[in-house]
Amino acid sequence: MFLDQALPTFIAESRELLDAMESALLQFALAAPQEDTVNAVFRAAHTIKGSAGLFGLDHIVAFTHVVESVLDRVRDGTVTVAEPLVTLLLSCADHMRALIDTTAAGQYEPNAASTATGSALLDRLQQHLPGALAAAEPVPRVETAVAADAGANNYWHLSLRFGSEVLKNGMDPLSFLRYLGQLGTIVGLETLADALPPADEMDPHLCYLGFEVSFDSTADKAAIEDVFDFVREDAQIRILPPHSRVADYLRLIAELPEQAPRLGEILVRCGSVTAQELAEALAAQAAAATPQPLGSIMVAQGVVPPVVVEAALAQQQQLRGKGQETQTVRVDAEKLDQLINLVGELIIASAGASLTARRAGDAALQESASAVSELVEQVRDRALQLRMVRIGATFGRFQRVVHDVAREIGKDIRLQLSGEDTELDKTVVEKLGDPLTHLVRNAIDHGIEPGALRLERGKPAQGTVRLHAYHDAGNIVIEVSDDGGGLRREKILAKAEARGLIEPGQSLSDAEIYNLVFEPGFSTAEQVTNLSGRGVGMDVVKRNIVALRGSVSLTSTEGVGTTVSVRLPLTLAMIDGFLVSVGKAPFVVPLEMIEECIEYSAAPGHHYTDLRGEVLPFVRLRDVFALDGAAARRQSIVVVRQGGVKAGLVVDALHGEFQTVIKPLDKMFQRADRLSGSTILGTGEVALILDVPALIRQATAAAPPAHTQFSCNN
Amino acid sequence: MNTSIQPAATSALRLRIDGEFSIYRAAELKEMVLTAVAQAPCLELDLSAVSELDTAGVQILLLARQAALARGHSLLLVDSSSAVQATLALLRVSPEVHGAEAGHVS
Repeated sequence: MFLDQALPTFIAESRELLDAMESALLQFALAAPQEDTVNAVFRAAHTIKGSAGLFGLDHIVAFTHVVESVLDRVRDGTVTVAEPLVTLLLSCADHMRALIDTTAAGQYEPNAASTATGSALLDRLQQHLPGALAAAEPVPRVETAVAADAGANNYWHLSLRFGSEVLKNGMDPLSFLRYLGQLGTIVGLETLADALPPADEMDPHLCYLGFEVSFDSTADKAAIEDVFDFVREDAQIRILPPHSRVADYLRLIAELPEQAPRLGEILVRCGSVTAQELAEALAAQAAAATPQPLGSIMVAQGVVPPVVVEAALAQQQQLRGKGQETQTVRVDAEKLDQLINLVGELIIASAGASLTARRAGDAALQESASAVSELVEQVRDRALQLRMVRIGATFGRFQRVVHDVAREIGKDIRLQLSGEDTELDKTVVEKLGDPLTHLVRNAIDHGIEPGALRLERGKPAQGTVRLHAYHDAGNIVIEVSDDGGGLRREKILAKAEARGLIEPGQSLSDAEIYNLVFEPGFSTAEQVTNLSGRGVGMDVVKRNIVALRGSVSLTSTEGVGTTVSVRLPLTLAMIDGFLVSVGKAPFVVPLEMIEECIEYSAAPGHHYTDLRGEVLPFVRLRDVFALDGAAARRQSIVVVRQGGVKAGLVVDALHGEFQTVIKPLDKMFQRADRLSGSTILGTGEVALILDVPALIRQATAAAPPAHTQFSCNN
Repeated sequence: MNTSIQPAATSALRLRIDGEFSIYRAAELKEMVLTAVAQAPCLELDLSAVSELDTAGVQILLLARQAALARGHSLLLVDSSSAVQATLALLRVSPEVHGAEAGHVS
């Protein structure tokens, strides 16, 4: 059927819309909402509702409709967006995502768990809607069901539990009740003194009383809610519209602190529920095998007139039909990967063809081979670009992480993003999420100090976590920084000594000390407190990054903040390489890291040379890899650079640029830390790709170079 | 604002409070009313000169009622100002414990 085929598209689109909705909502949290961000959120909800209706996913339609109604009121300004509402709407987006996910998994009906979550959210959403809406234009089909379930009374029911500090804040619950009298008539009222403690424990300045009010009024829910505007934060104010279903009263009873039977009586006495209704509902609830949250779905259904939905849908289909599909083509990521693999093979084959042409000595053949390889190079770049994505989408997700975690631990933290347009390979991005999440959480949890401490240190109470990305020498660098307390050098040293990671009295540079937190020994729970939590799983972060041929480093100033820099290759598939050789062994140096090539000159036995007046440390690849054979008569130095540090690599011969398709090293060689991969030359020979950062470190280290365990003798 | 305790006409003790019966005097009033309830098997509260009764005041009256019930004492309102009457009516509460009720600890 047509719809079944379209379902994956619906799911993919809905997820994108939810992403858009989430990021727009998070902007609300940062600043007063702009009209277009509100519209973006509204449109997302509206579109999802419309499409879900097409597929007959009624539970999604029902839920989303209420969300949309609240958003509509935000849009026309009747409801102002404050922090609790943003959080609520975010939870709603999460719920919608969960519903979409279950649909994607093949479940087209709501399950008990999602119904429960949904109805809890709907209840909270209803607080932002005029009471009339719950009963507005009910669908005829559902109306009977609602009517059967609806309470017989015409009154609002208000359940008021004021915050205990309300009196100290200069407000008297009595005045709210009196003011209520101006909006309508208080038909019934019960003062609950249950919370009143024994005389000697009772603080006469705290409020202990609760009120159940049955209220006759033509005012709408918003107007009644506004009465309690000043105390809403600390108080539990629940408002049930007239004709609420008995089930709603039951839920109210369940949520209130007092004993259920007693509250039941009170509601009856207030006149909100008749004794018979209560008894019947309680009996029904007890009889039900699974305690289903009664009826909120019914309310939801009650507010969705299908005719309206259909009209909205038709309109939407028209809108969507125009244009969008011509702009972008959705391609299965796997197809893209296959293409890139093929391009890799093409490059190797083309290198082979060029080589054969050169050997044949036929000028025309050589020319056409070089034209082909030039085109192949362009194809490679385009193919890789297809898989390049902006890092902005990944960064955007952290707005939510920061928002949630900061709330959870009660810190005021904002996330600052820069360099979102920096692109990198999709395969890298996918693997970046976990380590970055870890770093960001670490920064929030342990980096940023509690508000009071920050003020004491003369910093703004609001902490800042920054995510910054930029390109550097064929790599992407992602920095996670915070303006928190920084690492404590002495503590790390002491811990490292205790752990036996360093010798007592060993002198280390700051960078070396901070990098100790990436050691596995620093990742146990015990250190969390000792090291103010840094190093929690940092070894795991490092391992993940290194597995992507990347590196991670950390700088920190005590009291000022910490920056963790993650450096990753742009792609895991291919690079432009530079082919060199030592003896008969070919090596590839990533071209982006090469500054220049110079003639070898150095005093015998020295490990540095004079580069236009600069000291350039170098390593001899022959020594590094313990290769046999005497050095060539005219050796060369390849000058490489990473992150501002230069070093030289001494090689026998330079062969020029070479398109390098990276093949991972076999497991056996993975401990060879001066190699990052291998590739296949046109001749079919295997060339090893040098791990330039590791070689630079070796060249610049004071200690004489150690031989690797790996030796290469081909 | 002055307050007096005098033997009532009957064997009861009469406590007269005037001025504000509110949060501003909550600590003092709590102490006074509870002491009086503890002392008198039958306490008569004269609130005819109370100018204002707020939630804090109502809580103290309800606390006194609890205390009276617990001890089997009775607590009566002999005269109340209109402010007191209005508040008690709005909240549908009364601090009174009559002789018959006394002793039935709820």
